[in-house]
Amino acid sequence: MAFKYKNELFKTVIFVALYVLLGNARSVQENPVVPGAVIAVNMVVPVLAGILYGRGQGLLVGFFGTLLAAFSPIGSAFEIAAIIPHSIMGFLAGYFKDKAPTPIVACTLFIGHLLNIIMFVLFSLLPISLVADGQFWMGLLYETFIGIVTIMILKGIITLGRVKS
Amino acid sequence: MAATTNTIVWKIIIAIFVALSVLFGLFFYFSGIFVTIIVGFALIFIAEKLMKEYQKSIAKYQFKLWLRKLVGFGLVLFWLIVALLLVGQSVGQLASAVEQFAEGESVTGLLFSKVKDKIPGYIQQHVSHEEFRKFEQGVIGFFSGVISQLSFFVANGVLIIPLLFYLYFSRWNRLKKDIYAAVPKEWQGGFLRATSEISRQLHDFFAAKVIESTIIGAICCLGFYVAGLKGWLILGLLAGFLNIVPFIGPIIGAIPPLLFAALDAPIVAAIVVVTILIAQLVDNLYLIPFMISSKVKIDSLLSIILILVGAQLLGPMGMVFAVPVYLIYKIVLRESYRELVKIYG
Repeated sequence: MAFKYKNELFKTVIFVALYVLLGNARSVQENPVVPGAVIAVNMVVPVLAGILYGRGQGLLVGFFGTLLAAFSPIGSAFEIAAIIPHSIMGFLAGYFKDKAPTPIVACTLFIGHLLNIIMFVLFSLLPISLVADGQFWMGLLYETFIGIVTIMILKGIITLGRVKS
Repeated sequence: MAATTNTIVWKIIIAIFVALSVLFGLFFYFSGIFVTIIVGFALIFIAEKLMKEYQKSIAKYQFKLWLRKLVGFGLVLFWLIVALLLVGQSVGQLASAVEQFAEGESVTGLLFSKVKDKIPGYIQQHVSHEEFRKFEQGVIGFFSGVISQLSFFVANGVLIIPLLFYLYFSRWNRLKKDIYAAVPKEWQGGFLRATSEISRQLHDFFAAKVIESTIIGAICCLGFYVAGLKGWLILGLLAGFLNIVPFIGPIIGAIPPLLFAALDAPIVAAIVVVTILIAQLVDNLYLIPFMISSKVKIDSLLSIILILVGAQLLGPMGMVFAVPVYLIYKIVLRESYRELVKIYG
């Protein structure tokens, strides 16, 4: 695993903090299709960590970010159930980072959402009848699309800062 | 090395100094076009870096040339649409916030009525509603001026920036050769050294400024988003953009988000204040000492003096362009002196 150095630890801490911060953002809106949940803008953070620094960072940011967010003011049962899905999602983003272009790798967000739904249904946080509704999947696709766009914007900004002139 | 006593050298140096001053005088007189050209070059810098990065990342997939171009064009189009949608949404949020906050009353009137009870009596005697209104009028006047100037720059930009992109990406090498060929032979060495040095130093300076603004803008956008500030995107971008202006830029950039936050809720205002402080700390403790200083090697006291002189002569624009103008003067005069000493002894 790439996680060996102080620099990596620092980056992981920053991304975990970013995850918790975004989860608690006051601009975050309620999810129109999943009652009691919010639009998970912060799900982009483990994917971004994976894309930028590899599967180790993606996994750690997904795990610790979601864990800490679960105990933050916004924390709920949804966050606890999402710890493993988000860790897997970050890991997958890191795994595919050199194998496909960024927008395609960012689609691991959708896998994260799918795993989330499985966990929510298993923990009875989400009625199965809701999952059968077409509107639900449209909402999910919309959320994934917003996430992919956000990842591309953030990747663009970070790339600009990293390119040596 | 002792300075030359040859009067011809000094006469020519003075003539070059005057010519440069006239050139910059013209530039600043037609400041609308000058600023648009600078913005155009900043955009070219960003586009060039992103294109290099795009070529590097797409090279892995061995796409055919037409497919690379198509993907690149698609990405540019995608970014334009996303930027327009996001900025449009943010402007809409701001407009509705203003309407919501200032229904039939001035913004400062509302702000004053909110904070009136919390102001101690002895301060209330000195700070009246009128003071707030004057402040509001000043701020509104300033930003109306900025917006009208911006619309002028946008109109200029639509005409000039595509032309600059065309010249830079398809004719730049040929243009350089033509200009070089027009220079007398004995001056060609010095001319080449001076132009490449000017190009490198200006490139580094503006690259540093673009990166600094991008990072500050990103921090502000993130903080304002976390705060739940209406119009967080546009206010964050504005704060990043105004950060280019040394000293007063960060203060001017902080006023609009602080006003909107103060009208919203105390927690929003607190997070906005913390965000601005963090952005300034990152800028002053990390970006300027470690990133900007390594790119722009100029004495800090001298840069402060230059900025103050620039501000006195040309206002905010003078503050932004004081350092690059100084760099051009320095390099042109130094190289001219070297060449003249070689020729006249």
